Amino acid sequence: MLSQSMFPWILLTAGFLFTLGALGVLIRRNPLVVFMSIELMLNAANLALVGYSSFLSSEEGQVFAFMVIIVAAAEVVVGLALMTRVFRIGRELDVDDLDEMSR
Amino acid sequence: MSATTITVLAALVLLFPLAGSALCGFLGRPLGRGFVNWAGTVSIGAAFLVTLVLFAQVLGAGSGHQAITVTLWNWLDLGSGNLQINVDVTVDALSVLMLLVITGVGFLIHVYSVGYMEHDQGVARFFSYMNFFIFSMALLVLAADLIILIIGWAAVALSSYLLIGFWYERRSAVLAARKAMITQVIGDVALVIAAFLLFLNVTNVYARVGPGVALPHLYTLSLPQIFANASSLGQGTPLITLICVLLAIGAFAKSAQFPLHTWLPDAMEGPTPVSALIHAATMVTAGVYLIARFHPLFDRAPIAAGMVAAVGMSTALMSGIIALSQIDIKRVIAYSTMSQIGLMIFAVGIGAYAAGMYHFLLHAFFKALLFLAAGNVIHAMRDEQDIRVMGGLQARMRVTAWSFLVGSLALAGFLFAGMFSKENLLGFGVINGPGAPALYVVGIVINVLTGLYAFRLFGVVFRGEPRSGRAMNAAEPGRVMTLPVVILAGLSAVAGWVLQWPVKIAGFQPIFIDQFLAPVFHTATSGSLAQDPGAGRAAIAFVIGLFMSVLGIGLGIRIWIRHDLQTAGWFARPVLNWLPRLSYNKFYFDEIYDALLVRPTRALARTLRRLVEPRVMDGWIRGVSGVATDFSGAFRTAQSGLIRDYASYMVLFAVLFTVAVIIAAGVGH
Amino acid sequence: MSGFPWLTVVLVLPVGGAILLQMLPRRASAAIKGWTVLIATAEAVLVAMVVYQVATGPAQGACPGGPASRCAAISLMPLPMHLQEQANWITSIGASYHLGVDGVSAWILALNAGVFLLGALVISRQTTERLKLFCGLLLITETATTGVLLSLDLLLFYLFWEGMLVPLYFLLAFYGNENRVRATLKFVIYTAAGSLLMLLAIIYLHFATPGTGPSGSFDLETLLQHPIGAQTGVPLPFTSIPTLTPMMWAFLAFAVAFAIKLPIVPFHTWLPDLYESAPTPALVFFAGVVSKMGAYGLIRFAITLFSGPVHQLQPLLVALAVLSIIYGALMALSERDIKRIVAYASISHLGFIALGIFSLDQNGINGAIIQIVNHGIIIAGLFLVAGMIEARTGTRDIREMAGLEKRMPWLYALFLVITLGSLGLPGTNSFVGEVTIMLGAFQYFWLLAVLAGGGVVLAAWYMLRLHQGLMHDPETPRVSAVRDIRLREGLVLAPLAALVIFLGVYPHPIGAVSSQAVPAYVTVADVSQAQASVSFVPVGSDR
Repeated sequence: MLSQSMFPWILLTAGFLFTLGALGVLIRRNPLVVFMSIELMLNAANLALVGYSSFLSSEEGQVFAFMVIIVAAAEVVVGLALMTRVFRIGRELDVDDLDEMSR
Repeated sequence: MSATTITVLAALVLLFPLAGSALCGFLGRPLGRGFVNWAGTVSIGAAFLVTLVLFAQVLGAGSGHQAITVTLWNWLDLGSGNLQINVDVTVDALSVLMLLVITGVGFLIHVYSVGYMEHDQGVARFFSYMNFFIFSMALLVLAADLIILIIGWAAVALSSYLLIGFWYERRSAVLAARKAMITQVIGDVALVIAAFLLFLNVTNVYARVGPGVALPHLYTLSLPQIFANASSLGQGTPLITLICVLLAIGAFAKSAQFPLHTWLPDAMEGPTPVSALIHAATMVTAGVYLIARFHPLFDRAPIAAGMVAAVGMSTALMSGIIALSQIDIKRVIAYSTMSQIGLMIFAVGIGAYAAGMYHFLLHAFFKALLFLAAGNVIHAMRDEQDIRVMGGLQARMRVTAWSFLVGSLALAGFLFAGMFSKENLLGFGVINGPGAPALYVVGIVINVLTGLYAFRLFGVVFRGEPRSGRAMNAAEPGRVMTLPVVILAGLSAVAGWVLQWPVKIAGFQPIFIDQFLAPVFHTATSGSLAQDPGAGRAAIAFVIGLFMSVLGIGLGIRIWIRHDLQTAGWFARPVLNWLPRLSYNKFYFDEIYDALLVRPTRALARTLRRLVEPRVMDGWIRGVSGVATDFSGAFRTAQSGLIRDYASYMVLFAVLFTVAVIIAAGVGH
Repeated sequence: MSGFPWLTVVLVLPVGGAILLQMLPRRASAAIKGWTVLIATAEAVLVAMVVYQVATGPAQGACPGGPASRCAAISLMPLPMHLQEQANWITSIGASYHLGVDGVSAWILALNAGVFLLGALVISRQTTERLKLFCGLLLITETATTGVLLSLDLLLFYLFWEGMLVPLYFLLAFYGNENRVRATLKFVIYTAAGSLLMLLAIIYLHFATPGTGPSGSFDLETLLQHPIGAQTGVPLPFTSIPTLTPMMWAFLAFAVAFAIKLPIVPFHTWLPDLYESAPTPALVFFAGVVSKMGAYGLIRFAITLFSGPVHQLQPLLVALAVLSIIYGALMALSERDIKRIVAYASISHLGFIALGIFSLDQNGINGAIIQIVNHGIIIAGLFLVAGMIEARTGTRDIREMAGLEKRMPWLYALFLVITLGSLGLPGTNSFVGEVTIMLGAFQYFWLLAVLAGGGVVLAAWYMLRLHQGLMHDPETPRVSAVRDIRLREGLVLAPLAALVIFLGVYPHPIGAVSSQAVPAYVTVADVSQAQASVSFVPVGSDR
């Protein structure tokens, strides 16, 4: 059981991690790293959820965290599959090159 | 006449031709010409024999017999108050008389066709269609429910369409078939609307209701019931007049009467036996039958009946004039058919139903004869139909020529068939109908015209010198083609005398036919238009009519056989300059319809396709989607396709949202 | 037959078949097609049993396995349903899994099964790419259309109604000619827009219906028993009738959704483009069945739930129907592409169906039901013929073809019968429907029947132009090497031609079934119109 006083610090940590992840998504061009950054953001959110759960003494936050983990896993599966396909057809793994959506 | 017997016999009359049609259509190709010739003719022969039995039944029932109506099956039943239709057939003197002609003359023409279609590849198709025609015509005359009658009516039109367009590689035949069919559909629609009016308005006059209570609606289209309750439609009311006018439009379309007549001359594109059977003897008289069948209604609608009579007489006059100048042998006979049917329509219009049916019977004989004889000529001339290159055929085709002469005399009304029925019919015109004497005068003028064109045709085709190599080498066709012609010539020659026997000089009434049909037409409950002209008047009318006929024949012989140019000039002088041109061009009806109906419809359709559909119909929806597109276009530049751009939008808005929430929370405090 | 959930079996059989189909190897094309045909045949047999049950069995009598109280509730149903099945679905919002069939839907159900069987039969194993996908989508579409016909719950109905679009989108966008993507997109957007409006109206009904508990109901039965009362609204210009009430808006939403699917002019422009580009097997069931769902929806939902607005807007509705008849006919007269001619002819004929429905007369509605079945048969036949001709000559332009009769006598004969059916010749099946519809319209306003009659005359003109243009006249070079149809093709077309004649000579089976149910529909439409302004008495309570 974490002490109540630690709660702001947890939130701050989560915010810091989230910002880090967001910057990673914005700045990096390698899709693998982008993925890792997204995971970082999701985990930041998880941290916040668990922190709230503890602060409010309610299980719901933890349930949501598990949900997020599952969704993240599913997302990674899809994302990695996509990347493998892109790699297979001989494209460079650079998110700036993959701009077919604009055409 | 037991109901079971009648059911079986009526079903057989319908089934034999239908089976013949199916056999020829499905098995005709594999089994070959011999099979088709037998199957196609024997089926009609069998139907004729059954009809004879039916005829004997009706005769045996005596003059007081009632029509027997039997139900074959339930067609549609949407519950009481809604459409409830049974496939009913009715057997009475009128339907049996029609059936006799349809199957009897039909059989002869089928036999003739065996020879005529000898060299044609599509003989199986031909007999299949012809048999189907006999079936549909039998259905038409047997039907005892208006919807079933309309089905027969349309099936007849269908077989006519198929047979006019039989030689489908000819553009003109294809167009003629289409024109015929569309005209028939116009008639069908008129009949259907008449049926609606009857359905919604006939009430049960036998219902026992208290005073001041409206009679219950019957909601039926069964003809016996409609006729029994015809008085509920009133006498001369706008309603019954409208119904009768619509029925008459249907009849006009089928019987090629003004203004729906233009299809019939074009219909001569079909093989000649078709012209003989369908476009002379039977189908085109269906309009006459329809009006005669609906006589309980027409008796109550003097205005509509008068219109029918006037239209019939004017069609007769107009087509008589046109027949004088046509150069195609079949078209001359076609216009003469229109003219004669005009007279029949006139007869049923003035209420002389039996007289109209009598002329129908005899006309079927001599008109089929003329067409088949013309078919012999065309066959001998190797498909040439232009009478200007014929001539002198009498010496080369004796049997045909003499038969044609009998037919021409019967048509013109001297000695043979036409003398009895046509003069009898005109006799009623003396006192009946709208402006009775005036129409009668027109009628006797038509008598002269008939003699003129009949003998113009005979003279130009058979007399004089051959005007071409083909005419020089023409020869009589085989017996299978001459025999039906001779039989029809015999019928045309004697039928009038036999049916008139014993000749009652004073009356000149067709006693047998009158008595045979009496149970049908005398059931008219009230207000019958036809008054017997009386013995004296009839005799005078007969003599005048005969005189005019002989005058026409004589003039015709002088002009076109004796080549008496002086007479021709004398005759032509009073006729205005424009009449011949008008006549040759068929009064420009085709051109008028083309300009007034066909072209505007086509132009409208084209305009819709070029302008309305793309600009208006697609335009409004494109306008809606255009607004959406423009709206979305404003945001389109944001869609760079770069993931990092999207991510930065996300972050940007997340930050903005957070800031907004914080500010809102601050304001809330 | 009571107790066993027959309708559920009918509903899930095709989609179950589609799932099992995925187990077959992709290359086994014969097995794939055979399985599809087998499933479609089994479905047709089941539906035949259902139709037989509706034709002979008692309405409302059979208690479908539920508790007695439920049975009592069902017997209050204002519409005489057979073989009902009801189960909880989403209880919290009052949506239930409620299926039923009656005289209105029975023969349309049969048409549905028959046309899908036909579509399955005419799939070409040799030329269809991704055959397994095609067959699977076909079966899924069948489940969706069957669901539309069976649902008695508005939400369930909406689910199937939108569900139709998904397999159809893939069918039409993956297969067909070069214009297909554009045409399909037009169709999907058009339809989806209409459907979304309908969804809003369904939600409105859910909340506005009085006396249906705290959260309302989606059940047709319940909604009909609790009609929405008089409402205030903006009066129509120059009158004092309060027209633009919420109910009027809701009706318009339903009407637009159905009018797009049917389609009624001016919501029709997706149809010719789509028909022109779609592959023949898909076209057979698309034109044969899917476009009929709009007509069915109008009968089952629009005129029963919205009798007040229907009666107020009747002049406009019948005018649009007649406009469709004439406009479609004129367009068919000026087109030169076989499939486009048939497409516009179809618009004209569907106008007849709409006219029958909006006449709000027993004859008219019976005629509409009869005509839905007949038109499904005829349009499937016409598109099959068009496909056969296109496959042989490589063109659909009628100016490039002539004289086919000589080369293809059997096709000529079968095409002739179907053509005659299409132009409504008395003695063919269309005549039955058209004459009954015109009688209904005539009772409403005589001029309508006369104008519709003009449509019949135009139909004779454009159909003969099409038929003769292809079959008659001297041959053109393009048709000189054409061979007649094979036996297999003939065996597909011949039953259609036979039905055209049989149902023209003996339409009683359809009329007998439809006329069982139609009086109730007309009564519901009339009664609830009267009550709309008076009271909230449930419709079924006086039975």
